[in-house]
Amino acid sequence: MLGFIKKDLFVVKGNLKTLLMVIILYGIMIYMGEMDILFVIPFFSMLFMLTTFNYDNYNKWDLYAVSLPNGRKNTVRSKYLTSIIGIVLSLVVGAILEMIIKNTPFKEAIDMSLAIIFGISLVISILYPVIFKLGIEKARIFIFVLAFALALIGGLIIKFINLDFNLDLSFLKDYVNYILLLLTFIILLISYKISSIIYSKREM
Amino acid sequence: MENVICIENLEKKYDNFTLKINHLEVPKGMIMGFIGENGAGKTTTIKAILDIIKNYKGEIKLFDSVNKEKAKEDIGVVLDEAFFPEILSPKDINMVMKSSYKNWDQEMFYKYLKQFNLPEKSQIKTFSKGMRKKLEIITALAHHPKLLILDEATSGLDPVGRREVLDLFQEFMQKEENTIFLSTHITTDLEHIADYITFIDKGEIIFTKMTSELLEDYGIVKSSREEFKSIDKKDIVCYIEEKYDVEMLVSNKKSFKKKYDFVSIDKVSLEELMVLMIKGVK
Repeated sequence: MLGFIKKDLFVVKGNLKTLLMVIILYGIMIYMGEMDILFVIPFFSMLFMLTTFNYDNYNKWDLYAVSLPNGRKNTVRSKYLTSIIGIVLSLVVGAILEMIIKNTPFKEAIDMSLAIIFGISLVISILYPVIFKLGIEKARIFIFVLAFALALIGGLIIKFINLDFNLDLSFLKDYVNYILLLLTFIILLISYKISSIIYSKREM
Repeated sequence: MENVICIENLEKKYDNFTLKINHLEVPKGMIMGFIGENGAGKTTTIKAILDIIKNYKGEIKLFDSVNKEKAKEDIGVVLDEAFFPEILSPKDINMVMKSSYKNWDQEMFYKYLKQFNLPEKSQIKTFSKGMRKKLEIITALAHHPKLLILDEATSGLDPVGRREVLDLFQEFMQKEENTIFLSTHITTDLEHIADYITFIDKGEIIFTKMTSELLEDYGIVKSSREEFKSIDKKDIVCYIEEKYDVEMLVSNKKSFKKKYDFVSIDKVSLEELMVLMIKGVK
């Protein structure tokens, strides 16, 4: 599996020029206050993971990977692990930059980071089984639908909590970080299991 | 004789194609050429052997075991147009494979890179088709496999490159326990190196024969239409009628010549044999 993780990292490394351009562009936007550091960095980390699926597809890596020892198992495992590592690392960088540039207190930066980890993990957890089932080409339409649906559902939830039910969730305040971490772990685990089953049966 | 690949009653159905192999075995220590026209089922067979396709009926054993994952440590693979993302370099491939195979031999890999003049730090996308193919082949060889499964491994190579690669295969075969299962369109390569030929057509195995026997026993008979009328159809494998004459494939040159001494018989190449068997009337 380590080999497959390395492969994805080499693909990202191969896109270093694009990565640097994106960093500079968004660095400027962050500096101008147009973008949120904590969100942007892990979001792009996720996008780069999706890029690795594109490269795999273009050169039919999946077929080749399956012919290697434990190819199917390692393909799924490595994608999840690389994504988690990438998101956590980019959040650490984001949190540090947030604290330095915006003087955000440590506790607040951690709270925000965990919420973002949960959000991005949720997207990955829904997206990856679909990619493993359909392939990145066909899953592309789903990505757009998913982005739209999540934005819509998120908006509706906020609207309901604030306006209609006026729920008091303050009792959860002390536990919210733990709950988020646990939820993140559970949804990723369920998603990984589903992807593994799907990919173990997939026709190439 | 011990077999490294053994297929029994394999059946895989698609909407417009069915692969149906009742029996196929690849003996240890041999090179088996796998020939047939495009869409005959060569790649599908290879995909089934490597578990790239699923949901088929029948049984495939590798090294006498149905546990393919374990067997894959001892298999080197070249697939038709499927390899690493082209943004990687041979150096990156070495790093990936080092963590993928227990027996990965870094020194051997770099030795081959040098031998074939492949730059280790350039991205694959800068390579010519022939260079890519060579890289795929040396990647398949560098973990000391006991079985090479090669799908169109020599296509895209110029004659010199093909010769270099065939020499590499022969070097690989110097170890008695090693085996090659090789599908290709370039049948002349097989005439030089293959011990056995398996011919597949429309998803079914037509025959598996020793290459030497095939080339010695089979022959092409060209006769006039008049002469053709006097030949018993049971004595020929298949024939193609042309404007003025008829071309026939016979499976036993000597006995045919004895019976019909008025015809001339030529040696048959694998390519001619393949074309006649596909296009000819049986």
